[in-house]
Amino acid sequence: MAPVQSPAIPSGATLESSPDVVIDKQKWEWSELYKKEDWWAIWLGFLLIIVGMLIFLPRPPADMAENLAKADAVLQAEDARAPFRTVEWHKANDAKGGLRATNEPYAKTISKWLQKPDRWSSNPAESLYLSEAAAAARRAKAEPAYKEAQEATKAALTRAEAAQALAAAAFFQDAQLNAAAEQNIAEWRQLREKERGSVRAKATVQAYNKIPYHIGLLILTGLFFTIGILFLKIDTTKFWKGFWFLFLIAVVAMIIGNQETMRKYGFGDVLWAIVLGMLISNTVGAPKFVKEALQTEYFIKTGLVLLGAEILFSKIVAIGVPGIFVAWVVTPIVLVATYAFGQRILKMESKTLNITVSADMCVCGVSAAIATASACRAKKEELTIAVGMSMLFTAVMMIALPTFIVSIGMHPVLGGAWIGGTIDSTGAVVAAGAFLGETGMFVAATIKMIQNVMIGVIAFGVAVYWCARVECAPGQMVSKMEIWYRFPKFVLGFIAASIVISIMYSAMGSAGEVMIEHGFIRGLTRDARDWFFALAFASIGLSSNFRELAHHFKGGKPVILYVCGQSLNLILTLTMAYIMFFLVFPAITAGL
Amino acid sequence: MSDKPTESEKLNIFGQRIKAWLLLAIGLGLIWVMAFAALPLGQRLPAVGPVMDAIERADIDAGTYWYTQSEETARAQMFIRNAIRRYE
Repeated sequence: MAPVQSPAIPSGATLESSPDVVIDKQKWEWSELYKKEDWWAIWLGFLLIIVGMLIFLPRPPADMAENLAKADAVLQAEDARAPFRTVEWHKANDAKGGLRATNEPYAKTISKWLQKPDRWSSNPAESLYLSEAAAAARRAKAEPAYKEAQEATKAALTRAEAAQALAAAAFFQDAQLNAAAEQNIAEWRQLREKERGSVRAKATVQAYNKIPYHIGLLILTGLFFTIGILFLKIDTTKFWKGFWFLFLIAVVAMIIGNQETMRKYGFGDVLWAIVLGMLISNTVGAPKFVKEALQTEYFIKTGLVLLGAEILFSKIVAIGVPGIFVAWVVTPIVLVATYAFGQRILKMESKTLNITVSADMCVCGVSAAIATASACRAKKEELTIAVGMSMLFTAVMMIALPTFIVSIGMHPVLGGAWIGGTIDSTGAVVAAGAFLGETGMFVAATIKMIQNVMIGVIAFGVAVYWCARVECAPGQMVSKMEIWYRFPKFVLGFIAASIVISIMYSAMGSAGEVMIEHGFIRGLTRDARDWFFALAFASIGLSSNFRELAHHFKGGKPVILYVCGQSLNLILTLTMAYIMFFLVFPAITAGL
Repeated sequence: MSDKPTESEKLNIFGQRIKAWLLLAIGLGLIWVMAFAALPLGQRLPAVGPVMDAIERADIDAGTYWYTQSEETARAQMFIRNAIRRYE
């Protein structure tokens, strides 16, 4: 079948001849199942998911079912007993949240092998190695503050219990006593949060040496990808010769991203992997021996299949109907409007850049950019632009939005929903939400999580739309089989992983939380996915050049697109959040 | 004619290499400046400081890009799910 001329490809080029896009042949061959990286991404992704299931699912925490039932019973009884959340309610909620398969010894061993370099402030070596003496010195320094925080929490708990007892003695019928108890409980929770924060982290630091684990992980990751490499007509020896260098760049990027100040501003490892790679390739040049290891698509697609397992559809009801409206109604409207604005008003040259920037701006930043760019086969430079812009604007919004919300005295639920629906990345959302207090942070984080789930639908939609409408001549009708031939197959693995794990998660009830999300996802596949994306972005950086990047940035159109789209997002999200949380469901808002 | 580079060409190549390594060092230096000078200075701004203090107090990693990377998201979800149960 003749290759299809695409409007997204420079004139004169064909999809298959364009070096920067990955394209399937326009016919189906069964051998694709082992010859194409899309399929290898699926096989390897599922292999890891299955291994995770086999390790975690048969090994639940002791008495999990009994403890979950006990916590649920207390929560239900306390809901019926008092008009506010009692001390017992909070304790049961904490106990339920603390039940995690990742707390089991075997999970901690796995975590040790997959962990990233640690945080550091002035000495980068401390991200890889911390001696027992240095750890002890840090603990000793932080201990007085930690002890003080613990004492304060304990005293606040005593006051909260006393105030609650008074309210209980009046059968929770005295509004004044109820308010006093609620106030004291809130103070206890606030102090508990403070105790659990940086004070505890510093006071409980342990010695570590991550170097042997990173070397082990380098070998394991290399072997893992070699399974596919053997079938992908890539020279295995040359792959290994360059892979260690790529892995090293990923580790250095993680070290930079874990520097305390960078961490606070949200400039994570993904950004530094691109920056380091580009710095090397555009100055001294990427070493020749690394070329065969730059398998960007292979790493990114495998990571995306694992990401699919983290898209759990039942999470969209986490905050009830208001959350669905804020995250699932506004987001697609903004996405379509921004894309249309980019095409019709800004006349963006590249449709793939337009959709990647639009999705990363209105859905969830880096992860949405990765999923959308892969679904529409955007160029590496386009993904780089989207990720870079997202991180810069996120850092600005993470500071500006909560400052504005607090300065005008906006309700924390409304402010939290606004932050969750508009700031790109989860970490920045949590950070901005924390400025509004616990309620604001919880609402912001939950809305963002619901929005995260949307990228499954968006990636699938974009992949179909691109095959059926964009990658064909104007007016051309594309048959279903043709769509299948062109469809990026790894998206099937991404969606299948999401559907299978979502069904399991829902079917297991509360145990799903313990064994799936806080089991093989947070305990294995998430960390592996993190490493794969870091490798992919280091690979993108090493194979990109500034000139090509500048070409895509021509006229500053991506920035204009981002700013205009984000402005619409801010207006629509705030309006929808106000309608939902204050006009339609005020009881939910009052209850938070 | 010989394919061997002349002395001036050799010098030129050497100069280019030095320039490339210098540019790499400048790039890395800029990252250092960002981490240890520019961003900490930014924290002194009245609008930035309070937000950064809140992030530090709560020990939040603002660099995470997905909900499973954040511990706070798990706590938020557990709390909200249990809290709104009485209104459903």
